[in-house]
Amino acid sequence: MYLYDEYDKSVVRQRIADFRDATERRLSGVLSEEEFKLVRQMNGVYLQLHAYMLRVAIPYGSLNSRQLHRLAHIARVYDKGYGHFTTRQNIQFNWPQLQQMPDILEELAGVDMHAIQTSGNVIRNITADHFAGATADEVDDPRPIAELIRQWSTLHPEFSFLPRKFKIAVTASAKDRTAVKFHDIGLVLHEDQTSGRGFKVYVGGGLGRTPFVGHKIREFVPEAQLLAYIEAILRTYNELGRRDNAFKARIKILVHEMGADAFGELVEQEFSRIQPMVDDLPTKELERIRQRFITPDFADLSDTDLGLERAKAEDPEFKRWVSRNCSTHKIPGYAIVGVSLKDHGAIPGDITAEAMDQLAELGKLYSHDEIRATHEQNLVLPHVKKRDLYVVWRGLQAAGLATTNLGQASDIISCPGLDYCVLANARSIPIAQAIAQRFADRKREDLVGALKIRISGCINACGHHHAGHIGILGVDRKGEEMYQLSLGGSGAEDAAISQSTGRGFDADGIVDAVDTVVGIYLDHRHEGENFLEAYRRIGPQPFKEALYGTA
Amino acid sequence: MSNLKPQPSQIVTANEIGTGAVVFMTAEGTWTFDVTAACLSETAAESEAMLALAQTSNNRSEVELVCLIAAQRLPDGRPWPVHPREVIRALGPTVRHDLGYQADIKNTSRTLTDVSL
Repeated sequence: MYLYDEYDKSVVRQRIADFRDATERRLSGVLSEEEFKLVRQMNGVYLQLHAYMLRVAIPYGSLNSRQLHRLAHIARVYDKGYGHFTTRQNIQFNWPQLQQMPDILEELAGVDMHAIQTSGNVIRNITADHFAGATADEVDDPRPIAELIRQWSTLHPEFSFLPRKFKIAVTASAKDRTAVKFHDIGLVLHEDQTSGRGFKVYVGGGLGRTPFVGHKIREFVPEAQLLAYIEAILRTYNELGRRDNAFKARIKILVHEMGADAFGELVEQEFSRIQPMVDDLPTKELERIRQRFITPDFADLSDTDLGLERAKAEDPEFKRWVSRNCSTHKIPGYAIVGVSLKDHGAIPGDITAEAMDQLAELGKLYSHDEIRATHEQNLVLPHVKKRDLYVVWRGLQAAGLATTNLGQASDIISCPGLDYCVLANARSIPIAQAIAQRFADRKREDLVGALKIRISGCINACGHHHAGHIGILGVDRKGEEMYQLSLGGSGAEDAAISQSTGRGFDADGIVDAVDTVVGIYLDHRHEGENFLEAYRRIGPQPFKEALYGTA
Repeated sequence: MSNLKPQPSQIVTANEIGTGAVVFMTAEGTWTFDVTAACLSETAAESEAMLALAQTSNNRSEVELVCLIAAQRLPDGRPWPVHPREVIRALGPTVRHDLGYQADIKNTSRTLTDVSL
């Protein structure tokens, strides 16, 4: 975990004081909503369908137990007893009152958290691999770099009025758990024997109404020059990105219209101009940040734990949970524990204050005081000793957090949709719930295997429907909620945009349509082939015929 | 849909500044969480007059995003929003009936088919 220093703390405190002042002026009528809007957005406050919503950043998805307890406290005292984990490593509170907002921000500041730049046309929360620092398949922990970018981009005067919002993700693993190619800038840390450590840089990826897979504009930017390179990208975008049309203002449109090569050339020109001026500084700063990251004091353990093996042999439920929810840790004798927030029929990403408290305690006792939020609206205990897995599992069971559906059909990403969101055209959550219920039969869900279903309630695509193996987009057709189906997307290293199957379905019809599509997959799949692999082999036609007939 | 021009059969809605909660204007120009207690216009002129009242009411400083939305008259004479989005605004999240500022209103119908799934 990164520890704030006095400078970090004072920045956040000053910001809250400013916001408290603005809020008081808004409540007394001195500021109009129009005047207040920019200020509240810069502090993560939205006005949603039924109430204000506060979006709190969880930089690179990392939380300690104190922070998670504090989020639980906020949910209990200022909200309605729950929080909602989003698709970009944030947590949202759906019911806070405006006058209490500065107090909530004070509560957050007390545990080194904030809501700065979780809204508005600025650089948003920096996301990273939720297995960072734990997985065996990474070059190094990408979070110090993510923190460096966070500090550099926080309240950056030049980039506080970008043409549109700007999202950056960082990973250090070839296996992409961050949807890196669907970000405005996606960074992949890798090591080269001759050049040393540096980043592959993707730009112009994104979902929304015009989805694009990001373009690689640099194979290798040395670590020490990364900030200068990112600055060059942002300067180029800030100058040339469209401001006349919000729908065409994201960097992906600029990159698409001028071509990735031409854009990359402009970035290189700017980079060569500014790089000499900022050289070396980031290296020192990165070293300072690294020193403020607490690295877990891992024990020296055997990778095989006899107690664990015995418990697995005696308790098939536990054995199943271990095989479904635990991933390989880089340290022998440890495991990464996945925690699903998608119990069949639950609201994806929602968690009660009580469950947050229980998970925080488990994290404190058994995971080196770390908990992670994933962009798939789940949580992770990243550093659990194998010999503690049984106790952790029992604790998760008691908290209602031991669901074994990670990566399966009912582990659905869903935006809040028309139940909460002022932009939505149709509801997403009830569709996710209905589909998950269809897979409540564990045998069937296991039979289907790895499957990523993603649902968005409008074209802005917060539910990542373009990146789903099965994607669903809610639309409003003359006052009726309708749902379009698309297939074959991926948000992983093999990123792809799902393709529409054809005409849409009503709310009941879309649930049946997913069933139909899954049935076709089961009929056609080869031994060991998952949904996406089968789709890529056989193409959309068999699915379309089953959905719409051959006529 | 919100921000309609004055037409027959409309009600005035807004959001409370302090909470963001959805409210509707009564015939007296006060604001209520209960959509069925809203004032429903019969003519475009009435809609226009309602909007003017909303903009100038004593409670104007308590609300924002004041606008007209289409509504119908239920068989019992009370108003009800036409568009699903406005029905959800009036009732709170359909996936959590226990939430929302309207959750306490006993006489609000929650059985309309257009929000059930």
